[in-house]
Amino acid sequence: MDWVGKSGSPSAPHAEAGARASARREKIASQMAQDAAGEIARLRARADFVEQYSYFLDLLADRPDKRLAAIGKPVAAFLCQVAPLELIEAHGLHPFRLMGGHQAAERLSSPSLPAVMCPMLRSLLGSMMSLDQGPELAGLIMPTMCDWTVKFGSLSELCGLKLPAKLHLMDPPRVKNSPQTSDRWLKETWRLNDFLTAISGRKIGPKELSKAIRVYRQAFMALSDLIDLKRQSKLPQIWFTVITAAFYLDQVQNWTQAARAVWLAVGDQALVGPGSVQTDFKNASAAGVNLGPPDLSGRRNQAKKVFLAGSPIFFPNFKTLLLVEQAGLETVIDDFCSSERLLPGPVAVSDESFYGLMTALSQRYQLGCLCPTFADHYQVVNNITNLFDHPLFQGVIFHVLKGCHLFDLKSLAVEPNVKGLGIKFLRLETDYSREDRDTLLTRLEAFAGTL
Amino acid sequence: MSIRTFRFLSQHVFFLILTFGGRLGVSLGPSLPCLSCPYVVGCGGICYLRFLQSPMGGLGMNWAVLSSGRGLAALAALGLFIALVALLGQSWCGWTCPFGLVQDYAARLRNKLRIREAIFTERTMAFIKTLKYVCFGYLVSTPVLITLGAAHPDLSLPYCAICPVKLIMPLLTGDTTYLNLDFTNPVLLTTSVVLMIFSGLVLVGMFFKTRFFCLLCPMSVLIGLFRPLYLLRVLKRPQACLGCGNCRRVCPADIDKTTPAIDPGSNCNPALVKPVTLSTSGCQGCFNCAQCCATDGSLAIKYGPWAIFNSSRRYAARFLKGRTAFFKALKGPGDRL
Repeated sequence: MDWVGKSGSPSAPHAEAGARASARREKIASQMAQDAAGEIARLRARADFVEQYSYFLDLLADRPDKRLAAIGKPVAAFLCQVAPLELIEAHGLHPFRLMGGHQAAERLSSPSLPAVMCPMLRSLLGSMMSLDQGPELAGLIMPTMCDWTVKFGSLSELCGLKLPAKLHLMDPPRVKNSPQTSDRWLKETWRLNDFLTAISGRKIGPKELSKAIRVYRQAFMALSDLIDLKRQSKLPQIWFTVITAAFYLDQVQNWTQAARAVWLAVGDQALVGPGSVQTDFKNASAAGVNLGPPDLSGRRNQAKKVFLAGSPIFFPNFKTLLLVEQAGLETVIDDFCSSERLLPGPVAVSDESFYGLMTALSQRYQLGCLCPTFADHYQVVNNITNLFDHPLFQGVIFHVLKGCHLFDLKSLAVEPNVKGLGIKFLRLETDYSREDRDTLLTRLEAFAGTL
Repeated sequence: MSIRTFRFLSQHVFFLILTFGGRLGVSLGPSLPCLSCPYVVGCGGICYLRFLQSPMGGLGMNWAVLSSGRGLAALAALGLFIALVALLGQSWCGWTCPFGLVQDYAARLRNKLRIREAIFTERTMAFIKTLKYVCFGYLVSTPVLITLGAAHPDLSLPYCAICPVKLIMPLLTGDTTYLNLDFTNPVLLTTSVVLMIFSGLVLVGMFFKTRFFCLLCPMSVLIGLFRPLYLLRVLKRPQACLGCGNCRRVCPADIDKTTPAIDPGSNCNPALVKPVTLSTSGCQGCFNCAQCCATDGSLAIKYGPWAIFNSSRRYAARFLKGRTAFFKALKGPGDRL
């Protein structure tokens, strides 16, 4: 199925414009491939690279369309984490999260889009435009978590994109902890079930759903063990993000197995002696050599530990993560839906009928979600303050992508609460461009100095 | 080994002791805070409700009996009951009650057959929960009325006469003695009819609703009277809760305090938010909530001043996956309550 709308009559000016657009598309696609390959090469060159990461890097190195075709299952793409993965899996479909982390892709979509807009979505639309032939999708699930996702269909049209599959909008209630809104979300989940039945041609029962829930519980356990490694400073945030970024690019069982392999390989590594993180960078810069990010494995016990919250970070845009490392900070906790909150958590079920399983899934995905789209923000604050009385982190860095109003508002709501508890807080507003690297680094270094 | 496995073992051991222990000479006395039915031939202990209704040892005692040695024996039985409640709190219901185990098996059967559990509206649930207070009121007032001559003497042991456990537990051991109507007089006929209807309702109810009878059980009211004395209790730190609803979903008593709202005045400051006890009336002390909570330190099981278990992501991940990690997670990272 085409990701790009076909042009109309082949008149000469149109044909010329079409050829120009095509050339531009190819150029940007090539730039995107280069960016991804460059990031992967830099990651491989890191001193803390272990062979077990290769599986994830290989998945990220593939073009998404080729990668998804290799999975061997029809794919249901979705945008936000509130669409229950277990339900998609139970229908024999592969859940694939649409992500946009390429700065180059933004150049393709920007002329057709508002000036101030979520860079992730702009990049995603650009990525879709850059592909001549997109992946075969059985369906496209769009939980309308923010204004941009509500208008995803219109934005696609603005970009001249023909949606690659039937679009299913989910309407999440913005208020939690109310029986009425929980019921509404449950109805949405049932509606999603109907949609998945229609696109997969497969009506499922409690057995299939139970099995899928078990599979994702295992994945959560693997993820949870990796989170523990990160807390213990054995697994750097950047590798953790690589692992989670590859989650949707293979069958969940394979990913779980590979994550266990990382856990076994990295979990036993002992921390080595202290050193200066910045020294590596300074020496490398002075010598004009790009050594890649520093080896933090030995110095992590010296680095100032931080909690990284806010807008998600997607491959290959690891700018913020690298800058945090460069500033001598170590991320031991994050609350990104692209990272630690990749899965909502294990689903506890007491009623194993189909209705009971659907209710459990619906509640887990709605109530456990920390997305700022919801009215109550106390859970987000809880997530930060709950861990603060442990010597896990010394400050909070709140990452806001320009144009992401929800996280912007959330940062304003969270800041006084966090500061009120005596926790250092830094709001870091950025986008996918590289121009602000130095400014951000200076701010991060100054922040590190206050910890 | 997980808490769930411990509980499973405990329930079976107590079921065997309390149902058949008497045949081997085991007797745990008449002060048990669980439904160990004396109408089961060869039971290994007696539910305190039975003793409480007795004219010779409970609320029906007259002054002559009260001032005799029997009065002291009754006080000793009450003291023992209170001590047992203080020791294990409401976990008597979740960990030892033989009829609780029977209900758990009914729920297991329902789950095996993938039949949907009944969901009651808040209003219905509130109504059902008041029925246990009605039962309790009936239980404590009738013996007093008999002593005062205001009720028929055949209503002695008024609650036992209509308690479904009296019919169902003996039936499980093959004893059909109580499966009949008593035509001796209108009072006994009425109570036996009520017994049949009540038992039928409970049999159906416990299949469609987990621990249905516990919603009506007067023992939980009696145990709840001594709540301030509980050593074993579940506490929640609202400021640690992410509100995912796991705990509420697995609570057989549908306790809604599992997801308490934060007081806005506290401004999310942990110092201003006090832990909330979940060991309220209706709690069965099963600790499903603490085991399923995937937030570090949000729920804790405390025994006296000691936190013996803290909820953690690590434990919940293993527990819900099916692997057991009780000892590993015994002292989870959230040791703060």
